[in-house]
Amino acid sequence: MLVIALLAALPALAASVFHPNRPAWSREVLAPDEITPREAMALTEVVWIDARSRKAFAAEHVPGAFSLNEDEWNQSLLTFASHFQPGQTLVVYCDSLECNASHQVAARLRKELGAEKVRVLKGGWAAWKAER
Amino acid sequence: MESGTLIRNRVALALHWMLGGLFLYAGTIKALAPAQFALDIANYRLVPWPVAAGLALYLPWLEILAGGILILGPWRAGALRILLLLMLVFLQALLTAWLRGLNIHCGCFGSALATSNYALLFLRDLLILSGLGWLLGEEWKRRVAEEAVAERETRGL
Repeated sequence: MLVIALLAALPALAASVFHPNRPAWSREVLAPDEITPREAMALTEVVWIDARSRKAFAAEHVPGAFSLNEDEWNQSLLTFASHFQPGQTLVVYCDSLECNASHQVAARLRKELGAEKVRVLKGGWAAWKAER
Repeated sequence: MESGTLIRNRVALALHWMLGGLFLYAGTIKALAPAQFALDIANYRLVPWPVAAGLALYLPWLEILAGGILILGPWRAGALRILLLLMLVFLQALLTAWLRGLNIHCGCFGSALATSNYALLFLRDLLILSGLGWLLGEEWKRRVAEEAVAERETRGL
């Protein structure tokens, strides 16, 4: 039992150093696919993806953002795909640091749309508002 | 060998493969996206972020290794004990999230099979736990039987 537990630590250690999707050890530090609100705002050509609920999107959102949440995924993705151009940088956000919808939507955009430049907004909508 | 024992052995072998495959799959999905799994763990609000990050890097590999061992054979009892412990921890985390009314993805299979239906998740994990418990019982019986045979042989000598 101990041998198995110790053996599992070896690839885990390697993943902590080399894995492209490894988590940051501190939430103050960016994960490899994350971007800060300041960095995202500085981008000239960016498509904002709002991964929050339709209701939250309707109340307020980043100007020009596209609503793409998992509850209405199939329909929204079809609409978005017709506007999407390969090579575009997509920045996905959800409510705050506590949510993970943005990471899930980002993963699905990479997988299902083949989008390569997909970043997750660190701190989500709350951080964007604070930065603005 | 009695037909009853033969059937039990075959069921045990099939269950080893099924559960081994399940943990291999679950571990692989999470090992491919540890950052996502760290967020899933953090959402349970049971451990601080650095611990969630560490667990997200470690647990998938533990599942992969233990799942692989269940299929391949050696150290099966150890792998079963590890997976049983893991399931107990997962169930406890799930239960506390359920009681606190958290609306989160369980993270059990990464973003695949994502559901927040706690009753279903709890039932699924209980079924897996029962399977692991039964297999561990079978391993224990086999070991006792082997020891009894070895003792008889020693006395015979």
